[in-house]
Parts: sequence; C-alpha cells; structure tokens
Amino acid sequence: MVSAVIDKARQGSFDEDLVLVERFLSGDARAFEELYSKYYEKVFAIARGVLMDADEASDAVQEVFTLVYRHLARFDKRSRFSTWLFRVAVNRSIQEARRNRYRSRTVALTEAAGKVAAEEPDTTDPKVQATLTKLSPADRALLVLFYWEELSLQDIADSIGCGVNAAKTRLYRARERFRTIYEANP
Amino acid sequence: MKRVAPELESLMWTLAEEGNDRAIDEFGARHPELRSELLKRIAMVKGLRGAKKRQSESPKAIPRFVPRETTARGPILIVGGLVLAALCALAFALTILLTPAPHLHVVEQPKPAVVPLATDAPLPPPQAPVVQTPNPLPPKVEPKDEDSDLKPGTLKIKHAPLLSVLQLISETCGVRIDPAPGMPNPDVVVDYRDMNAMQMLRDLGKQYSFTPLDQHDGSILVVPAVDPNAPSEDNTPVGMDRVKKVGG
Repeated sequence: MVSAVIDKARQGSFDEDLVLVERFLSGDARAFEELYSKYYEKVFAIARGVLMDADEASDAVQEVFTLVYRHLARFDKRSRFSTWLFRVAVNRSIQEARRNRYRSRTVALTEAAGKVAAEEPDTTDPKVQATLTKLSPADRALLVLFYWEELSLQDIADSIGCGVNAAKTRLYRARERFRTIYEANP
Repeated sequence: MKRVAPELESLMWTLAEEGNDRAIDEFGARHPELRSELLKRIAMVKGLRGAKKRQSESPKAIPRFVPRETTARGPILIVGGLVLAALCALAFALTILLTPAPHLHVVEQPKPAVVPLATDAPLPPPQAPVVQTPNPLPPKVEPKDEDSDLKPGTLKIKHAPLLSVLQLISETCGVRIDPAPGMPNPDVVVDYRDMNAMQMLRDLGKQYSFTPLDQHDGSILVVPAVDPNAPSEDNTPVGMDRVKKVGG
C-alpha cells in the first residue's frame, strides 16, 4: 500500500494525497470524503470558470467526483493526484460546456440575466465576464487554471494533457483571444 | 493598433501578471509607446483574477458527495450494435431465402419431319433444346437518329451565295446556323425536299468542304474544314443519286 508513497517521497516530490488515495483503494470510504472536501472548491472553480454557470458547475463537480470515485484505481500515480483530478475536471467541464452550448443559446437572455442578478450579486467586472463567456470552453479552462488556480505551466500541461511548450502556446493564444474580445467590447 | 513584437507581448503579459511596479516603470521608460498597452494588460489580468472572487462566494456549503448512478452507455451501445447486426443478417438471409430462383424453361423444339432422302446428302445434326431464361435480353434498340429532332423543310434555290443559302436553311428549318470565319461563299444551286437542316448542311458540306456541327442547343456551327478521317458513308452528294436533293 505504502510502496508508491515511499517511492514518491524518495523522489522528493511527496504527494500527501497519495496516502488518502491508497487508503480509499484499501476500502476506507472516509479517505475519499477527505479528498472530496479538500478539492471541492477548486474543482467547482474550474467547472464554474469553464461552464460560466453555478448550477451547471455544481452538477459537473458531482460528475467529476463520481468519475474519480469509480476510476481511482486507474490513477497511475505518475503525476500528483490534484493534477489528475484537475484533468478530469477540465475534460468533463469542457465536454459539458460543449453539450450545453446549444441549450444555453436557447435560454432567453432576459431570463438568464434576471436569474443571475437575483441569486448572485456580481461584484466583478462585467466586461471580463462577458469576454469569458465569448471564449471557447478550452480557452476558458486555460485561463482559469492559470489565473484562478495559479497552476504552473507544468501543472497546466499535465491537466490538459500536453507538453509544457504546447501549454505555453495555448495559454498565450487564449490570452490573446481574450484581449481581442475584451478590447473590442465597448 | 500597431503590431507589437512577440517578445515584447510576452514581456508585457509577464509584467502584468507579476505586478512588479519597478519593473513596470522601467518598461514604461524604455518603451513609452507601449505604456498604454501594458496598462491595458495590467487591467485585464486584474479583471481576470478578480473574476475568481465570484467563485469563492458560490459554494456556501459543500454538498455531501453521493456517487451518482452512471448510465453505462458502453454496454448499451455494444448490445444495440449486436442487435442491429443480427437484424441485418436476418433480413439478408430472408431476402436470399424468399427470392425465387430463376426458373429455366426448357423449350422443346419441334422435331423436323423426317423426310426420306433420295440423295446421299448428310443429315443435319440434331438440334439441342433451346434454353430460355425468364428475362431474355431486351431487343436491341436502334440508335436514335440525332437529327430526328430537327424540323424538315424544302428549299429550292438557283444560283445564290452559299452564306445566303445557309441563312435561308436557318429560316426554313428553324435552327440557328453560325458560320465560322473563313467560310467560302460561292454561288450554289440547291433543291432539297423534306430534309432537315443537318442533312442539307452535310450534303452542302461535302461539295463545298465544310462541316456542320450540331451544338444541341438549337444551333449548328459550320466550320470551313473537313475531317479527312471521318467515316465516309457516301461521298457522293445526295442530290446526285437520291430523289430528295437536286443541286450543287
């Protein structure tokens, strides 16, 4: 059970989550609850950033953790658990965003605006929100991981499943697209 | 907006992200023309980071995790595919089994009456029965005469320029005739009865070395050339041996 943990510790990049992972895989259900509590907000932030909707994000978070719960044995422990979890979260959120794109377009704008205004007083720059909404889910995911979760380029690369250079290029392009839309907005 | 070099772009983003005032001032002093661009990026980065505040407010209480019942799509798709394949195979088998095999009708040829031969001529070999298939080949259709669509006409002219005759053929037969440049224009004599424009022009072409080409759009192009390799049906002008034309 502890062999993977010891290996990681020897490499000097100890991932404390591995203990919880191993405990869960050994049958300790509470270990998973600990992982869930620890990462709920981060996964929610990623899902919210990609989906731009709190309800959809809550739903996506439950799906992400359900996937992790069922397939944690497939986690090969080559990366940190959090990176693997973020990768699942990003992929699932992008998938969900693409699926919901048509549905979102058909929602009346006034209805949506009214709902947001009533439930969540927004103190952030509306221009930023509007710009983020116009970006693709994949671009939003990159910006969320970099600016909100403040992940390193290596962690972003692991989270989106590409190399560091590719992650850097994609982030640069996402940022430029954000800037273009942001500056085009009155 | 003026295009900024990628290195400077990258540097501006880095400065905006790090927020080091001294470095920002230094950059502004070195590149005063990019100062406003840098300030825009700083504002954008602040806005982007500020947008996270909204996230931290959202999950007031972490909901209890209950693993969801996932719909196992994989097995459903596999089973569905297998069922579909089985149905296709069944439909194919039924089609093969229920389609009647083509019957072969053996038709006995009536035996020729045996006539006692008075000569020593050899007897013809006995004829084998003819096997008839239910769907014999359709009778060969004679190729349609391409000119049959053209309206026949009658034209009788004594000594007129060829180009004028072409004009008259055009009017008589209701087709447009386009003579190509370089057409000869000798005086001709024509006498065509119940012939269409192509027939008349082919006949004239043999005598005055031009070729009519039906454009299949209601017009005929006449070119002052003759294909020497063209299949020669009858080099003699119609008028020489047929009743329909007298002319040339």
